[in-house]
Amino acid sequence: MIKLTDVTKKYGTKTALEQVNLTLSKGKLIGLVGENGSGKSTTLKLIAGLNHPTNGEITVNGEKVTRKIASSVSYLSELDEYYRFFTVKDAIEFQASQFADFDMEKAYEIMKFMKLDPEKKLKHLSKGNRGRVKIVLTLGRNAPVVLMDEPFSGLDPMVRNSIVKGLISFVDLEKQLILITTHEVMEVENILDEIVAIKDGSIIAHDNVDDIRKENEQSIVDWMTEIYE
Amino acid sequence: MSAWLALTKKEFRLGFPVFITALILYAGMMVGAYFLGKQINHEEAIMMTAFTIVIALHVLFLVFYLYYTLSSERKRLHLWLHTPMSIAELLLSKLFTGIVFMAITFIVSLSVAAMFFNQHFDFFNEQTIFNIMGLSTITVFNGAIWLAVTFVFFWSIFLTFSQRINDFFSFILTFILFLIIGWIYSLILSIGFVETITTWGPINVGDILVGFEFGYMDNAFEANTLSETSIFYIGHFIRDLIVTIIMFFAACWMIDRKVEV
Repeated sequence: MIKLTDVTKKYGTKTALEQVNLTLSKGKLIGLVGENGSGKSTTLKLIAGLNHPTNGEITVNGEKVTRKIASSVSYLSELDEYYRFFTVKDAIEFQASQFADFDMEKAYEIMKFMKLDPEKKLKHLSKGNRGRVKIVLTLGRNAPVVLMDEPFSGLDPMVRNSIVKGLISFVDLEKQLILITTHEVMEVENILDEIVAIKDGSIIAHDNVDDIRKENEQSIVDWMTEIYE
Repeated sequence: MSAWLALTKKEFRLGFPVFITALILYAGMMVGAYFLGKQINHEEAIMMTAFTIVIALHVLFLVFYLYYTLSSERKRLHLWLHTPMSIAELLLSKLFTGIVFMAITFIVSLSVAAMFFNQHFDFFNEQTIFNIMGLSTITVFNGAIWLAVTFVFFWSIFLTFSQRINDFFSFILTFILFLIIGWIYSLILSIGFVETITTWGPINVGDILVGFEFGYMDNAFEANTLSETSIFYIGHFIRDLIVTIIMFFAACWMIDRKVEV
């Protein structure tokens, strides 16, 4: 479903991704993990068509990625920037107007789950609640590919766990592929199907989470510690 | 189309502060001119100057509007560019809202000015008002749209540079490029062949208003209009239109292909 072939991304003289080959298939919740500056966000932006590879090719469902892939890719940025004059309801309605696959009913359901006030302006929300709005807007779409860059950063640790668990009920794993970058590996490892580890712009591991647990008899954090050593 | 309309509604909200600022600025200038004129006993002359400045300032409105709104989007390119819509649609939405805001302040300013002139100057008649309104509308909107598209073109160049170098050097490089392109463009226009193929379709416009004549007679302010017959060429208009369209689509191409989040 998502295929990166020999993808290299350079920013000036700095190489963010080096000859990356990666194939991700649909119906899975995949975690993309790595240290800061390892190339996680760049990978997501490249798949979303918001950055352009220096070399190589990226396809989503066989279609070469350009900016217009946005019609089949739902992207959540790590940045805390939205149109602050919008209320939560305005933001949902705006997103619905821009994407044909936006499911209003589902979005309101997620909004309620996130305990957000639809009438509240985004500029009056806490950082954590703005993060929740981003999740509502991203998961409100029934896009075949959902990319979430650090969706849990800024969320209160006390509710993070329940939000992570709740997310799974708003994802249609028959039809969707969810790719999440996160530092909160411990909190998401129970919902992940696969994990991709990235280091210095190269993929160093791509494994099935159950296999890691059963065959290696390791938790994901232990597995990560081992491969990053 | 409904996606574009919803986007345009968002643009109205995003650009609203520029509209309000312009309204306050124009109103402030007029009110200020009124009180200053009363104080120094030259109310008509000061008001006339203020109205002329306010109308002329509209030429710059779209550029300021686009500067504000595009700068806002620059902070959230991941939202603005994450859409299946083309860049042309995104930019046209901004241009459209800017023109609507500009039209509102322009109509208000022009109407107030026309009422004031009508009350204070006897040379004003229906013909003169029509002449002034028509000419200032065409001149101001034509100039504002041309400047706005030129701004978008160079903004997209600036944004492309800023992907690799810092904002200060991006600005310097863009400014140098602006001077070079402007110089090359004026050279091209002065080529005899270019002048020949663009100077066609003359339209004679008689008694077109080209200015005002002010003076004081017996301590009273006097004003008259200056008119002359001018020739406009459709070829020049088409030439400018083509250049504007090329700049617009070149800007779209750069934002689409060169700008990253």
